[in-house]
Amino acid sequence: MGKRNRAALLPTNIPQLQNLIKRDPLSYKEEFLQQLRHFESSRAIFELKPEEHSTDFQDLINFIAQVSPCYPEETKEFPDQIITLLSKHYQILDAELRRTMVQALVLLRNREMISSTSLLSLFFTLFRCRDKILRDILYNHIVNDIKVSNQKAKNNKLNKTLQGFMYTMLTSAEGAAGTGSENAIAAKRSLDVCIELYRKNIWNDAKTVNVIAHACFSPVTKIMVTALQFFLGNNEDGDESEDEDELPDIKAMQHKQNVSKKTKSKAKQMEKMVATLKKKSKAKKRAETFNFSALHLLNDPQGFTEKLYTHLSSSRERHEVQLMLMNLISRISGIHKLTVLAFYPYLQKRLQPTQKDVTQIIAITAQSSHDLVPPDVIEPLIQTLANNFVTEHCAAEVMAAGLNGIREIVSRCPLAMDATLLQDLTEYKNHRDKGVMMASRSLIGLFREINPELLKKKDRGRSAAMNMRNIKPSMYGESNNDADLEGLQLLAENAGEGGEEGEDNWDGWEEASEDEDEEDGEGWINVSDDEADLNIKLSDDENSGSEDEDGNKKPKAKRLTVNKERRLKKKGMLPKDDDSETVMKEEDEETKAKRLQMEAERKEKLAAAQLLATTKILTPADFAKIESLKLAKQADQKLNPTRAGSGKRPAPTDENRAEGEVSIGSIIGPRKKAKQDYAERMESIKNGREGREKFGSRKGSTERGSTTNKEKAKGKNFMMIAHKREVREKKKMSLREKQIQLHAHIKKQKMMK
Amino acid sequence: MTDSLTVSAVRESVRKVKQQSEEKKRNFVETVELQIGLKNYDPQRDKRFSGSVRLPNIPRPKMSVCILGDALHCDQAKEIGMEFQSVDDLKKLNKNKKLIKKLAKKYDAFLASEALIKQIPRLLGPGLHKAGKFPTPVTHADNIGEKADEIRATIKFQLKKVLCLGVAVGHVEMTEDELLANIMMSVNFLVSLLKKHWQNVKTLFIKSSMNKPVRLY
Repeated sequence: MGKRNRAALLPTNIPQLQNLIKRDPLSYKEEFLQQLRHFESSRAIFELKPEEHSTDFQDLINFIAQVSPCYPEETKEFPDQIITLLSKHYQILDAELRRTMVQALVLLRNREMISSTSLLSLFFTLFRCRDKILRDILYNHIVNDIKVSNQKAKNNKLNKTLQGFMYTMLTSAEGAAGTGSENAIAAKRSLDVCIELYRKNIWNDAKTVNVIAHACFSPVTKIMVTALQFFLGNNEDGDESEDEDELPDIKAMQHKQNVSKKTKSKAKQMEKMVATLKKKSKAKKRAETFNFSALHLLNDPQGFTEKLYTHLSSSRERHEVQLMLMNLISRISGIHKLTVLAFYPYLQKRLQPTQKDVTQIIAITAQSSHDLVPPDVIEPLIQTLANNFVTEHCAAEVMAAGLNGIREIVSRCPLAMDATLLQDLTEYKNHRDKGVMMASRSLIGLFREINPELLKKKDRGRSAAMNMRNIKPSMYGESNNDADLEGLQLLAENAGEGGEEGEDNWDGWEEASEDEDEEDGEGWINVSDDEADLNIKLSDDENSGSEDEDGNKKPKAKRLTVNKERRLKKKGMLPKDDDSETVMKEEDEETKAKRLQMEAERKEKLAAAQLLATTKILTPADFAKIESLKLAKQADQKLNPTRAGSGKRPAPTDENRAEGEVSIGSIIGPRKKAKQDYAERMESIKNGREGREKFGSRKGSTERGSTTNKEKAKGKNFMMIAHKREVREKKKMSLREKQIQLHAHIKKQKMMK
Repeated sequence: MTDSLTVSAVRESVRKVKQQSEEKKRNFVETVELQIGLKNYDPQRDKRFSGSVRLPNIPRPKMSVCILGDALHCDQAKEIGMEFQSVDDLKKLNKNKKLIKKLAKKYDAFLASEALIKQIPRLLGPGLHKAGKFPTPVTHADNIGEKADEIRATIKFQLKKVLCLGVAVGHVEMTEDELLANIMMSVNFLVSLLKKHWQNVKTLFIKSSMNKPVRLY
């Protein structure tokens, strides 16, 4: 009887039917077809009144979507029907019904019953709906779907169509900026999708970046800001933590296996773990698709930046947005070395101590300057900074910011500085405020490296003064050649016989030829290893020793005496150009002759290096040697500056020039910790109070410090209370009394529940 | 990364390239190119390298160099039959983007007098830099013929949007030794530019314009 009942109910009890169909699709086909017909009819009704909410219809959609994999033939039409319904009426549909439809489609998509192109284009249009939850669902689905379809191999066809679609979404938002915010929201969400996919390294091509770049000119501020933030933000952070699942600790597992009982299951577990680890490491190796940071992928940086600048100069955006625009312009022009000449006067106007966020603007100025900007464009900027910031009547912080800003600008564009201004600025090297002092000194330090001639004589320092003839400031537009011949020179000096044994140094790599390598054949792979380092150094020592024996260089002894003389000279008569003494002149001539000799020597060395470079392939061992030789030479220079180096030094700011970003911190500089003001003090007091118990007596509080006598009695040894009246009377109780007591107890317990 | 690179192997492949080109003569002098594939290199984290080196032998003798010069340099250029443009010629372009692009396309490289070069961005806008042909400065003390040869002999390695690069290092009319010297020099320089040196190099090929590449490494 119960069974018949259930069967009769089936047409209305849809969840039950769904369950049964999933277990046995064949035998419930009739019921399903009945439901399908029901769906058809109710769909026809629904078409007439699409704005109405109908739970019945909703349930039916859900049901058919769930069971459609069981009857693929019968439900062939179903997805298309839903898609047409949605695309026709998505604006007026009931929100809940719409969500169900979308979820049904997502389900069908996940089971591969619809192609993603048709669905995703619909979903992008659905972003126009005024339904936040729906938009979130759509966003998550789109990102996931694209991720999955690109997992094994890039699905270029799909990506291309979708990117085209995003582009139309963005442009449509532009066209209808005034009319509807729906378009803007849709565009914003598709931009979000783009950015998310770029971050996840799925769409990391130039096309994506350029679609996002297009969004920078959107009239809708929100879209523009999102795109700007994408370009400005650090691209590295993001899903790194997401991708790195916690790896099982293999060491601990091994240890456990040694220590604890050995069972088959544990051994198996271990094996599994090792397998997953292997797989993961392989996956890591495979994921060698490097993405270039977005700024490098722009198609036409110059045009883009110019357009951004016109946008900036004409826009009435908020200050923060303007700052972002400025920041982006400067970043791009710093990285690509662009010339947007109008941008610099624009910045110059804003270089005032009273300007809001002036440190940021100084940083932006520094970012946007590079060595291909004509110096006469940068010069006024530096002048303004010096005039407005670095004067005695300014606060110390302001001066420090100005000096640091000038330093950052000049390190990128050294030609913009002239001697008089620099010498003015270095006057502050003994300023009473530490920040100013350090900023000024850092300026001195910078110019010691790039162009000591501009500094005052006493500021040049010993090594820079000795090095002066080697440091030749490069002209405007000049790119220095032969950057690394220095290393080769060193190698040529130290290993004249390098040509013969060169081939042996590959040995660490190949297994086969391992004949007569006496030196550092195996050491090169892990240069950081102490052993290898030692090895290499030892070999160097040998070389230098042999070279001295050869005697093709000046004898060491003579060099030493010359050094001594020089030092004495310096100690004795500080002003070098004081030519009152004849001895001095003689010595000058001597040094001149020596200089000539050195010049000739240098040329010789260069030729040797050239020869070496053209006749021999440098091996990894050679590179390791060059590295260590360079280090040794630097150390040598510090100890013994008279043997000053022959090569140019690399520009000191190369490291931060790479990414082109100037941090505000470097503009502000180190600052003394200021005294807390009232608000800050109150804040810290409040923080201290958090989570602390209130002071005062705990009288009247519910939690007691002590136990009652009754509680104590429970813990006592029975023999101590056996003689008590309560206990003795319990024994004497009649059955009836016990019963009453028990009932009362049970009742009480129940009431307490 | 299977085997090491030896001088004899390079010589062998140079020979092969030359032989290939001799088998079927073309109507032009084929250029020999060095193609490099990199690995283990993250252009986002690691510094993007760029560097230029002067090779011992001129790889592209036909490279056209134009001097944007003041009066003295223009006269000198006339004497040795070099292409030149004076300031007035540049001003005539009137910042017209198309004309500037045309100018940039016409020549392979530019020189500019020291006095003039600072005005170049103002006169010509970003066009030259966009084409990667920003002029090199020359002073009055320099011999412009020599300077032009120096430019012709200089090759530039610069990582762009992909992890591979190619540079012209010679042509097939060069002798084997000259070609070998150029290739060695450029390989050595390139490897010295890389952070982890040989561990960053995936492949090295040399190829002449119309023939198959020959693998060096």
